Amino acid sequence: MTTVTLRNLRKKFDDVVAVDGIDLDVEDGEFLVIVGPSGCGKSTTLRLLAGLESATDGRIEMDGRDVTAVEPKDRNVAMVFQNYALYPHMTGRRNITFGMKSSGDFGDEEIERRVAEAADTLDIADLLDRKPEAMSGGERQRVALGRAIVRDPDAFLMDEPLSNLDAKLRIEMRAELARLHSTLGTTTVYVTHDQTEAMTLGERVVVMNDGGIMQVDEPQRLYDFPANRFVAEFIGDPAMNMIPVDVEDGRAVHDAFEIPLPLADAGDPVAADRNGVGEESLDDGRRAVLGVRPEDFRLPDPRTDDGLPRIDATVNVREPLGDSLLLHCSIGDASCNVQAAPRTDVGAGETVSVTYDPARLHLFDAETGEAFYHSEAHVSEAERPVPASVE
Amino acid sequence: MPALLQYAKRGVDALRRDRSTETVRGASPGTHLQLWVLVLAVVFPVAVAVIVSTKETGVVTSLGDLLPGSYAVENYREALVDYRFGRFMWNSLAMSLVIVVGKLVVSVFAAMAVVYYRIPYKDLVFLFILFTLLLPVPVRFVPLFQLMNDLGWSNTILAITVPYVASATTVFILRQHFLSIPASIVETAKLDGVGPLRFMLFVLLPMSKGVLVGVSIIMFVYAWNQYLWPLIIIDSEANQVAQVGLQLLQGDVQGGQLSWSLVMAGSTLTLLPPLLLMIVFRKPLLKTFNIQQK
Amino acid sequence: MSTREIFDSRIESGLLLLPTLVVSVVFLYYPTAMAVRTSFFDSSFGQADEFVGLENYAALVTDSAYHSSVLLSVLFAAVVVAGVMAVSLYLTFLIHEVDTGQGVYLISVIWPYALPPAVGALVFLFIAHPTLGVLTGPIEALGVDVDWFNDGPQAFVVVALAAIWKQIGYNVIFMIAAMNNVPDTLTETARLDGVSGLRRLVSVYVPIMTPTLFFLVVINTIYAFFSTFAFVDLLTSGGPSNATNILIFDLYQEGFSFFNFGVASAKSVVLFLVVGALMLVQFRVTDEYSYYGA
Repeated sequence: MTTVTLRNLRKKFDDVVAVDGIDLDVEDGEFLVIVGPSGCGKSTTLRLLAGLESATDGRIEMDGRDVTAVEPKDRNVAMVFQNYALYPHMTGRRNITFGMKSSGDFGDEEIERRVAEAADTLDIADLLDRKPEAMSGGERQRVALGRAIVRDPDAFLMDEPLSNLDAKLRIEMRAELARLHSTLGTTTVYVTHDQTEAMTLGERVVVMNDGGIMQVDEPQRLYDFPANRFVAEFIGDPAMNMIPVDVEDGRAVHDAFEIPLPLADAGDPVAADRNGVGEESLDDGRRAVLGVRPEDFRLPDPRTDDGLPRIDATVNVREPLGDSLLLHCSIGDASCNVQAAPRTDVGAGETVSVTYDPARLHLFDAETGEAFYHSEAHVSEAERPVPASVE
Repeated sequence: MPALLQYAKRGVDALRRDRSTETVRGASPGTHLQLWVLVLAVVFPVAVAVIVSTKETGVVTSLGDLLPGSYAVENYREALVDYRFGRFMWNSLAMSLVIVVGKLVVSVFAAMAVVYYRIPYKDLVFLFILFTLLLPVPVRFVPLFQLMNDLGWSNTILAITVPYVASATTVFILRQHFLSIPASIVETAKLDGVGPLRFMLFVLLPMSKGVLVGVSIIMFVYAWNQYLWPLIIIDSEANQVAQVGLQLLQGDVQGGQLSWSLVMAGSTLTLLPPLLLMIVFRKPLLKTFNIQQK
Repeated sequence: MSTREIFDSRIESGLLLLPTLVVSVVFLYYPTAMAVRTSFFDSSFGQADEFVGLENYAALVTDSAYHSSVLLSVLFAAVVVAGVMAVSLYLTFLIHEVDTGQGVYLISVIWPYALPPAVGALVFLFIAHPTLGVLTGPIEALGVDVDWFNDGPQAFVVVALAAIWKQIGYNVIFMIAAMNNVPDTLTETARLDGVSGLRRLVSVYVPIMTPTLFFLVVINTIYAFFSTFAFVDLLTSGGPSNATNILIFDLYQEGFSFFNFGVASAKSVVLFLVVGALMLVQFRVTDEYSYYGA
């Protein structure tokens, strides 16, 4: 099976650096998703893997073999494109077999057998004699997948394969892809700009920005322990609130509020391990950015006292989302999104009292944007308050 | 009585409303009428030619004479056989087909190189081809005439075909079309290791059918309608093309040996091939023109 | 980022480009270079070329007949371009407005694209013939004495009309595509604002079609200068008394009636400069207006 290793991989187009010296290890049989905004270098990375672009610098290894200068056809990878890239004048079957026949590595019987197998796996037997124009978007993408799997490649490279489908079909195909991966177990590198797709499909997710890798981690850890502001704001919708604060005396201090920052006993091995940011320093006077996700703010029941500080927030706009209510608020001079229970009786212009989950605070360095504190690592299960409802 | 008036008024109002909505949609009968008049003006000269080609003498001095005659078969036979128009038509056809096929092959090759090959100084090569747009026949026919004499090609089909085989317009149109084929399809071919010949035959050409037909029609019309260059370089009647053949017929009319109905028969014959091709293949032709304008 | 350059064999790309490049060099670039060279020589049949420097050009500068030919060509081009574009634009607009029979109207006005100029010329010669023409009677009934074999201005009008007629088809082909590209929402907004038909044409469609219209101005100018040779040759032979002796016909006569290759080449070079200037204008204008397009 196949591992893929990138070492200091760089790609320059004229004077634009698309991929800026990245290192990455894709494990055997892994479903790895690369996600990032457009222009972050994710597609270029995939195309470098395929051999469609040649690297300016660095190495690409597959199973320890240096393939940096190897022709695409000799890398034994299959690519699936956003626009399916089916030949419009060929039937589904011919689309699937054309590449195999071109390579000359397969006998007719072998091809026949594999097409039948792929058609079975993907349930596309009835599409084989149709041309792409007579297929729906989802059917086309299935045929494109068929073309990819029929060659039994060492790795699948997928470039936004679901982006041309409508929302409902996209969710269906997402499940389909996950099922296909668990059946075949082929190493897969999948590029998308859609963080939901990245979170749901990836065993591990690579977040890229400006040609560099921001973080590589399992989806939930990416969400819970973002390594920097970019990841924190990119992953999660609505995005994490970012409020400039000063660290003073173990508290995050803002003009409008002060929040104590939980800190585990020094030397607690569990905390350091879970945190992922290594040695942290809550030095007095350090300028930082406090990150709180909208769902980690709460409107507390005024009759109970959970011992947490209350913060005054002025509601500017209310957005009922159905399963929740999103309040666009001002806290002092900072603007903040607060997710409240649906049907909460709060109107625009009102001032509400807001509290938060102390286990879900993040601090980022004001200059570098690097995370240096995640409160979750410092709060034991027992200490966490039971979420209070407001109904 | 007032009820009747009311009824009438309502009717008139309704009519008025109808008219006004019609003008809003823009398809008033006036528009159709104007179109009819203009279409008639555009078609009239050729309709006259066709009608006259069926008459005995072709003397038509008033609109009343514009009734079809019964000499069609005789006139066309005479033009084709006695006045050797069949020969001219054949020469024109041969010339046009050679130009179309030659241009098509040569231009597909060039466009394929320009789009799908990594070539040093590619822009320069493409500009070199495009620059020939500035060199139409009138700019160079004097030296070209001498060159043909030197090559011994005067009076042959080579002289009226080979110089037309390089075509900036065709290369340009094909290049534009090739560039509109999604890059991902091309890259799929590369990932599969499809070779250039296989790529051209099984991917590129099948995906370009419409454009190939369209440029073929454009090239055929252009080739068939050539007049100046054959007039200069072909001087034996046996090798002459239809356009210049018409001029010969006209000379005979002026000399009084020939009736106008025969000239009109010749004109109709000369018009038919490009006209029929254009009408039959109008869809790919119009699409191709759209590409040309980029 | 994505690439279509999937092949990189220099030899293959060279072979693919070879036919186009060889034909371009031998039959387009070389004769053009020769035309420039010959323009500095005294050259004609059966005598050795003699270098005369700028004498041929000097002759053109002082030749008043050539001056009037230049003026005539410019006037002819202006009339043809203005005429063909006005008629075509209005026709296109009418076809755009109707909602039934568009296809039929379209084909019945764009067919002259396929019309061979020689056929067009002969048909016009016939229907407007001073003594035999079917239109001559009706026109004379309006009080005009049809005598264009002897009357210069009349001859000019007949040649221009024939040239306009032939070029309508080509223009409508491009104009209808451009007009169909005007977003429906704009048309509908204009209609809601109560902008009437013709005003909509002038103030909504024409501005949006500007790039296409400029493209056509250049194409039509080149057409008027170079492709109208057959009309002049067959209708008037440049006469009466040079009233229709436009540059291309003048050049043809210089070369192939008088065999003054040196002077003819100088005239070719002048024409080349005319085409070059027109193309340059087109490129500039296309650049400037490109933001209008897709």
